[in-house]
Formats: sequence, structure tokens, C-alpha cells
Amino acid sequence: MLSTANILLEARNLRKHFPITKGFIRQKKAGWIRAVDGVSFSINRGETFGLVGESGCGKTTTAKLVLLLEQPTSGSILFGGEDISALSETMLKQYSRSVQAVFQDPYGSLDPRMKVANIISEPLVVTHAITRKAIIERVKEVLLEVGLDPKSINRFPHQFSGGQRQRIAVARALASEPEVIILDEPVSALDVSIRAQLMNLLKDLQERLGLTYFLIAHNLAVVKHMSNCIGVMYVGHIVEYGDADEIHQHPCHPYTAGLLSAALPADPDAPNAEIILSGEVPSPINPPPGCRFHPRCSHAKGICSEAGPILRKVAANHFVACHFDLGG
Amino acid sequence: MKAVDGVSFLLREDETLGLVGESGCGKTVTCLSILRLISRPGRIVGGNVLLDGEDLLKKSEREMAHIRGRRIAMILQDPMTSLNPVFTVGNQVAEAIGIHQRVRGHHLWEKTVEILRLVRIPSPEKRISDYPHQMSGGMRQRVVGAAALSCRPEVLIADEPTTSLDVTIQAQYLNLLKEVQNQLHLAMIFITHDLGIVAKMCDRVAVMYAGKIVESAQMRELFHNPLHPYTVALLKSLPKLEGRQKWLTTIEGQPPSLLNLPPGCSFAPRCSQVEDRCLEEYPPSMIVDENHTVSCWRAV
Repeated sequence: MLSTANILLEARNLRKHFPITKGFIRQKKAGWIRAVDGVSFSINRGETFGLVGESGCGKTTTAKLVLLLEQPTSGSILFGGEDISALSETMLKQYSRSVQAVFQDPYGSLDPRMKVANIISEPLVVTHAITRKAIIERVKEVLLEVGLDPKSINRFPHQFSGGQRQRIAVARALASEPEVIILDEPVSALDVSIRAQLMNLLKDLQERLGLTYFLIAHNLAVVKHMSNCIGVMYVGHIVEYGDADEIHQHPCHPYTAGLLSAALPADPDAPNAEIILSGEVPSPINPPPGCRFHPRCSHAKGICSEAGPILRKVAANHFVACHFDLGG
Repeated sequence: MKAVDGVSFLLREDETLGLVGESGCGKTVTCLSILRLISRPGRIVGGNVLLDGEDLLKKSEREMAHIRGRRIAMILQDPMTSLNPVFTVGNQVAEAIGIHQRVRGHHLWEKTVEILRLVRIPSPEKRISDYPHQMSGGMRQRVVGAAALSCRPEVLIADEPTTSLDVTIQAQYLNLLKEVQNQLHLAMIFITHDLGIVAKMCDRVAVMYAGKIVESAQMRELFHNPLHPYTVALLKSLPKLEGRQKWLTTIEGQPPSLLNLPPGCSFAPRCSQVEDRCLEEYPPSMIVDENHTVSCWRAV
């Protein structure tokens, strides 16, 4: 959607529908959960794309599709211009080496019975044919990279604090020299004073290693701080997409405006529009017709419940899916 | 282990006190101590809790049972664990009303509906017979709020009530709490780690670190004129919504374990302005002005 010269990862009209089955012996399909329903975005090399939205809006499913943990129902993912569904087995191995992930909960994402060395080297052992000595060397290297003591390779995860565990998770993602790292809520499980450390580390690594990040978070301040480009997701759709500063200054979708207003700044004198969205996120099993946001939208008119708006351009780097011109 | 060590604060009618700090700094233990709900082997070794001038720590267990729920109520973080999944929400809210107000039958039902309406649960006559799993997280937390408010307490302790909620639902819940507070003239203790919530909700703030209150002030004063290096660093470490900064200011190191606190000031190992004295002796609480106190040698 944006300039195409430098795109590393691109999703085109990605859909993932999960079947709902009924019955025990003869399972019948009773409906579909449209977790991701036509999502497109592109990430430039060396930049960060932030996907924001509330729980259940399909952020993590999108990440799973990119990580090949789920097969898309339709749509395609392009990596370096090539469709990954058409890749050969060896090329797919190359792809999974190039795309790594850091998950939210460093207590759940690290196996408590594995030593740090084994945790970090696991992706290497799977995807690289290298000697044991070289592996240990690499593990020490990435531990230094994330600011941990290389001597701690024989320790277990429980010997580390939450912030250090998340650093181990980052080290594991770095081990196979990836190009893209998917960060799924990387700081939300950490204490406030530790969050800044980790965000600085991630930015520093990006700068030094030229990494591309796909960041998923619900905290708008975090997303804005980390990202060049933002996508706002609501019930399986991207409703607003574009440059991070632009979206923050001129939110055009009423949902983005509501999210921004709900993000509480740590400043008692900050101007706050006080847009309180009523109602809750609808279920993706039975989303409202037309624009999925219309039951909660204060600007909704007749057309909103009839036709779903498509993403249209409002500025050079700014797209919105809304029938009206609200922001600006 | 001293989870909470010499914490003092006061709460006035109609006022919201924010208790801010990271996990494990003693916020929750402080509030459980107020209600005398510390379970063994933990115990309160000293101090007093005065409600309208009466010391709660001297009350009998029976008297305490009358105070809990009726005069001081508490909302916990996770509505999924604080509600019982096998009883209807109406049942659980009515239980509190039944115990404290001795109402039965359809009066009890009416009261329950009324209190569910107070927390803005849509069509409470129907939702009263729902089970917790039939409700969304935001609605469940409202039910918890309803149970806490059912006996019109004077003090409400809210322990991170919105942490498990989505941002737009959090905004709804915070507004609701504020409205109910005005309606019922509640004094509120709001435990949180989110300074954004503090800026929105609180009149006064106490910042806790490793079991002690390191700074307390009027909310605006704390944001504009923070004096303790921990408060200063905490405020600086947050990413801003306005403008663009490249690097965030960090607080190096990690919060200390309460099992082996450093001698002297607990924050000293992470403090950028540490002096020799900080490593030897814990700083006394300095009164900066009537409403602002800070425990730091640099403020002496």
C-alpha cells in the first residue's frame, strides 16, 4: 500500500476462519469464527509495523499466520516479494529461520526444564547444520547482545527475573539471525521500570542489526513509541492504517479516536477528548453487518449497517475504512 | 520477610488515594492488612488502622466481620477468580446484602437488581440470573463492583480493578467508578501500577517501593514536582503519546528481593544520584510541605 521499493514482508487480503463444530461423533460445521477477515499490510525493511487492537480482534492470529503456525483460509503472505505458499521445502526452512518471535509471557514461553543454552540454541539446531561448538559460541554472542552474562548459559529460567527472561526470549529469537521478529505484546507482562529497558534494547538491536519488527500490542503509547507505521484492528479488519505520527495526530476512524482517548497519558494536564466508547467488542462469530464498529459508533448512520466501508486514502500515508470524513 | 514496612497514610472522605508501585512492592499486602485479611504465616506486627478514629487492629473477629463489606469493601484484580463460577451473579451480589442487611425474599431480589443497575449492567432483571461465564470481562468486573458497593461502604479499596480489561472497557469502568464515588461519597484507595490511571482517578498519590512509601503528595504536585529519584525515573521511563523520543530513560537493575534488602535506602542500588549515606542508613520521611512527604537523603 505504501512505497513498494523496500517492502520485506507483505500480507495481502489475509483471511483465517476457524470452523465451529457441533456434535460429538458426527461433527457438523455450525458456523465460522472470522478471526482474521481480509487483512493487508506491508512492512519495510528495517522498520516497525505496529498492530493495535483489543483482545479478540485477531492480532495474534495474524501473527500466527505470518509465523506459519496457522494456514490462511485465503490470501497470501509475501516475503521479499515471493509468495510463501509457493516456496519449496528448503526455502520454507529459510523463511522460518528469517522470521522469529518473542511472546508476551516470559514465564510461559520458556521451558522451565531447559537450560538457557538449550532454549536459545533450539532454533539453531532445528534450522542450521552447525557444530556444537559453534552453537555455544553463537549462544554466548546473543546473550551479550541482549545484555545478559554469557556465563549464564547453564542456568535455568527460574533463576532469572521477568525482565531477564524476556531478554532470553529475545536472545532466542536473535539466535538464527532473523530478518523479521514478531513481537507479540513484548512488554505488557513486565514491570513498569523494566519496560523502558526492554523497549530500548529492542530499538537498539533494530538499529544495529537492521531488524524488521512486527509489533503487536494494545498499549498505544508503546506502539507509537516503537513503530513507524500502525494498523488499527477491529474484529478481524484493519480499520485504519498508516504513518504512526499521522494516525496519532489525525485519527480518522472513530474507533482509533476512542482508543487514543482511552489511552491514559501519565499527565494530569494532558488534553483529553474523553470519547468513551460504549458497548463491547462484538464476537467474530456473528459480527454486525456493514461496518463492524457501527453499534459502538456515535457517528453511525443508515449506511453503516448496510455496507462495510473499504480502506481508502485520506493522506499520503494514511488509509481509513469509514464512510465519513471524521478526522483531520 | 517484611512485605510492608512502616507504611502510613490517611484517607479523607470523598477522596481517592492512589497507591502506586511495581509488583511485589507491598501494595496489596497493605490493603489486605487494612481489612485484616493477611493469611498465616503472615501477620501484622505493628501499627494501627484507624477508621473514624477506631483502631481496626484491636477489634474482635466478630466486629471485623461487620466492618468488612459494610464499611470497607474491596474490588480485586481478576473478576474470573473473584467470582464463583457455579453461582449466578445475582446470588453472589445478594449474598453480601443478605448477610449485612438482613433482607430476604423479593426485597433482596429488588435490592440486588437496584445495585446491578447502579453499576450500569444493562437489563439487570435478566442478567441477575446469569452465571459469570455468560458475561464479558467488563461486565464481570461490574458485578464484582456491585457486590463491593452493595452495602454502601464508606471506604472502597480497588486493587488494580482494570488490569485485566481492554482499554476501551477500562475507560468505561473508571468513569463508572468515579460517578459511583460521587454518588455515594466514597473514600477510595486505588492500587495501580499505571500512572495514567493515577492522573485520571486520584487526588493524592503514595508511591511504594520495596515495602515502604517513598513519596506521597497531591496528584498534580507529584506529576509536576516529583522529588524521589524513583518517582522521577518512573515518570520519565514512560513512552509519551505526544511527540517522538528515541530512547526512553531507564531505571537500571531490578526491584530488590524483599528477602535481602540492601542496607540503607532500598532504591540506592538503582539510583542515579546515590550518595555514601544512602547505602548506610534509610532516609527519614521529610515533610516538604503540608501534603508532600519524601524519603530521600537528597531532600534533607
